[in-house]
Amino acid sequence: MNSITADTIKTNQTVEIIDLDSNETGQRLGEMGFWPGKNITLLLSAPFGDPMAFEVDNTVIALRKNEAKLIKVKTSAA
Amino acid sequence: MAKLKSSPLIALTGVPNVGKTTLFNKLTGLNQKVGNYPGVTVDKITGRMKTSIGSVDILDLPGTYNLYPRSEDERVVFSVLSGLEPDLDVDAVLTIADMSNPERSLFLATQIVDMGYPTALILNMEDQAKKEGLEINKILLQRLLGIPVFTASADKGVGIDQIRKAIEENGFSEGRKVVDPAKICDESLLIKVAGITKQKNPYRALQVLKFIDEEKKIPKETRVRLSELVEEYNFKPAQVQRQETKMRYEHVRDILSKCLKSPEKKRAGLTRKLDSIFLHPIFGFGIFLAILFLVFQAIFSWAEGPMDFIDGSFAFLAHSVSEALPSGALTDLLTEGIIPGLGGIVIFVPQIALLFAFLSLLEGSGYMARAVFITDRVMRPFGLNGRSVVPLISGFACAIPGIMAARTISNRRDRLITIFVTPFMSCSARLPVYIVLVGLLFPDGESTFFNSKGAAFFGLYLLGIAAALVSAAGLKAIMKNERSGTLVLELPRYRIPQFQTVITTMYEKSKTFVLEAGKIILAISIVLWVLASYGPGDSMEQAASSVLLPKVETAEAMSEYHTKVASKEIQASYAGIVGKWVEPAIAPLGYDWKIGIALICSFAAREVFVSTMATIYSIGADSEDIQTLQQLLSTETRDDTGEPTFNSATVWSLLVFYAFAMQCMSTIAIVKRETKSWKWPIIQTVYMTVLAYVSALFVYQFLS
Repeated sequence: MNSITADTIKTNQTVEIIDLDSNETGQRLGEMGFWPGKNITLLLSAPFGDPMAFEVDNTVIALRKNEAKLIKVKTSAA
Repeated sequence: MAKLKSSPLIALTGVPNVGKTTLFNKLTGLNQKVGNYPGVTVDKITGRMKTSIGSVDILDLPGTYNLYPRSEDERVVFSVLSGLEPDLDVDAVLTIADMSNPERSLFLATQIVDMGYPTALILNMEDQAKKEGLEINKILLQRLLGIPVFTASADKGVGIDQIRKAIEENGFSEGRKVVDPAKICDESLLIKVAGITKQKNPYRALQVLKFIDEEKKIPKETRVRLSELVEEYNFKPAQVQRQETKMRYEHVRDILSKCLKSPEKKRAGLTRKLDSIFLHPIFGFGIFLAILFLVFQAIFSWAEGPMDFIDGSFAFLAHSVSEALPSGALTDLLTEGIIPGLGGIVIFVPQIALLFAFLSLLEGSGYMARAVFITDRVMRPFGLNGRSVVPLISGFACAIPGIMAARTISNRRDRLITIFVTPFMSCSARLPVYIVLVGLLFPDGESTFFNSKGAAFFGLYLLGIAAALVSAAGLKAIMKNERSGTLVLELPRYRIPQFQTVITTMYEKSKTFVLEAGKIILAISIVLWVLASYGPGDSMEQAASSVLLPKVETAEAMSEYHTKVASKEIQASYAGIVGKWVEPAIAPLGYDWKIGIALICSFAAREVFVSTMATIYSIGADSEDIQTLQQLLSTETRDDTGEPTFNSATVWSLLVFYAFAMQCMSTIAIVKRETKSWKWPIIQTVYMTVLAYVSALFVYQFLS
């Protein structure tokens, strides 16, 4: 099973979102554009690896590691 | 329905970073009014747009991604659009989208349409979208949404006329509903809810129902009835919410798939390149510190000239008034109470204006989000977050603009903690106190090798920082129950800041400070003036007559006479009495009653310590001669024991006291204004004073 959470991906890695946590923060992420089926790319991380800046759609959104954990992703084969 | 109303009210909404404020400023100019929403700290900003057929009021709502009331900003938007704000009856909504990233904007726009408002959509930043090769079929989008769609590049002034015209001609329409509430919720429940809450349509009823626990604006009995309905129908807000989000997103994506043509290949644009520098793990931090240093320098030194000018002008004004008016209590109140009180307010304006000019530049350029990004992790253990950095650093110059800047922190707990600890940072008003006292400690010249004065200053600054961080961490532990912060932060594209926005921000922030904090500061300064200028019975007259008039009335002799009278008078005044009265309490800190008077008077502002000491030790009320004061203080002896009053234990104790104590009524006033209650400023003042007292006690007992 190649399902991981978004906080574990590498810089410049692009992954597809497969699920979101159902808690309030998870919902909020959904409303911000982190929606199952979309691709996200980790652009860079702040010092100490936290927060992390993801590209989703055409924007860059920074999340703390704890929030990125709520996003389940799968690595695309390519 | 014809309504009797002076002018129509149009609400401006949009997700953050779409140029909403720029557009608002272009539409209304300086015709703006900042007010408050009851119960929250969000500013209510309205502006008036003049049109050929009369004026239109525009309400600039805070930027939000949706209409769900979770943060304070969102709660305001929610309650305004749900009709829960008594004086705000919104007639139409203008919603602004980022054309190069329309999805989230349309999510918000369709919610507004579902609420039943006549709406118009503006696709802003058209130039940017074009540059990226993005195309939107405006006509098709207009048809699919059922509302008028305009394109604009507000920061370049493109498309503004068209928007004005639309507002003038009431070119809004109700649009096509996206989510049918009956599909995600029992219709009969919604009808009942709409009946109870008087909401105009089922979607608005559903919105209110979903957030009854969040929304305190709804009357209690209504909430009780709604809660019963929730129980009866087994209504699950979170689940309904999820379904709605899903339906809405699918619909929005469907619309966009029909009318949006995005470029095949994404460009690694300028923003990406700049980010590789500004967010670089090492250089990024260096650049951040350099920018902070510049800001700090600006509030510290650039403001000095204007501040001296204001100081001088008010002194001149007081002098002229006292010459012009007949002498008496009223004139004294004017020249010694009210005018200096006003001066004490206005003097902060240069610092506030400068800090907000910088903040506005940083925000407008897109850098602020980056600063938050790189500092967030470092600040977190202290219950602060990336947004706390700027207020704290500003606190080194002056706590007031720093506390005002804490408004950018959306999490309530983090914001309160930031406001609470910012006054610990050693502000510029502590500097004169430090200079006099440190000078007493190390009266001899500097050694070339190691400067003890410099080291003492550095130590005092560190002490302030440590107190701030430790207190923040302590508060974090106490406020465990508060919802802990999340960081979901958009890093917008870099942009050239708007000059007009910078000017508007400077003007509005200064005005808010003078008008709102000013009232409290003025009141306290009048009280302190009364305490220092009046005494019980004829004690003041006796004090004055105890000084003998010089035999030869030369100017020099008279001025000496007057300073002696001032010294005797303040000792006989209520302030002097309070000073003696508190002596037992401050004796363990190594202070006598004269220092007590200075402590009480400098509650208005720390730097008053120096001038009060000058008055008590009668070196001339307007003497700024610190060396004279230092000399006098160093020879001062105690009434009872005859030992020097200002030994090193007492001086260190005073230094520590001033490092920690609140001693600034302007800060108290601004904390009251920013937290909208007296609770926080009182807790803060008590805490800081107790900490100052205990620390000074410890220092004195340890050193003496």
